[in-house]
Amino acid sequence: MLSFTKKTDYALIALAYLAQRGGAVSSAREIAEAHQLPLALLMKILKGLHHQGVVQSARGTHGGYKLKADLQLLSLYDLLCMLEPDQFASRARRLETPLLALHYKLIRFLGDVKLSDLVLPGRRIDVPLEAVRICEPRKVQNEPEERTGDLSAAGVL
Amino acid sequence: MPITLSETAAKEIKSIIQDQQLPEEKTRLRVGVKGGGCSGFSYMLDLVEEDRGESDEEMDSHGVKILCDMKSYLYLNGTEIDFKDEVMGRGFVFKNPNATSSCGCGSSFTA
Repeated sequence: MLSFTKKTDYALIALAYLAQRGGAVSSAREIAEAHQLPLALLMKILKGLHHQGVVQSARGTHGGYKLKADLQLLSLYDLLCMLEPDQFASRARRLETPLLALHYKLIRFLGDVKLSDLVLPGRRIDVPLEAVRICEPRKVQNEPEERTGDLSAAGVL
Repeated sequence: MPITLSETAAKEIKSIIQDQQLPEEKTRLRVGVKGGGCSGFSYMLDLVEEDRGESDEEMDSHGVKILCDMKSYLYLNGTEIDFKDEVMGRGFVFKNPNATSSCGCGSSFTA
């Protein structure tokens, strides 16, 4: 069955960092320090993404990586295939229905999720609907209390 | 520059106010930033029944009254809040001209 690893998480963080920087080059160390990621693993991930044409590298003292691919044309499924090829090849053959049906449904969903919608500022969701709080009227000299905490608990979702 | 809502975002907020049976005249959308997240700050949205406080900026965007405390306003002025309902889910997108970097999780930024 599908699962996301830290590799996927860190790859998305790195892509978001590079996307925010536009055409500027960022080193693996810079990204690792900004987000407290393990440098060795990040370097391996970026090397892999470079090999796949998602990022391009620049050598030298001020070397590093910058985005190459158009993230609107790449899906989360594409990224997972690059990072976790075993998830979608050999494991699927060992699954039996109904998990096999679910597996392919998930793959279809992942194919619909564009990387641009996950990592680009102005495109990704910053506050999910479930996180919008409804606060009780402020009492005198007290902080407002949450009625239910969030919309999902309120039964809206 | 004021904080604004897109038409879609304003429509969604009004819809929530109606669904939750909140008093339309008294309800405000409080927008703010809070410390935390892997990149320093994160955005927050609350529906509150409050009048403008001494330290608040108040704005109106497409009929939704917005409150923002002065500290948050330093980071949020000029932001347009949009609403998306797509494969990735439903939620609000902050198009913030002041954000200089963001984290991959999408929920925090630095300025």
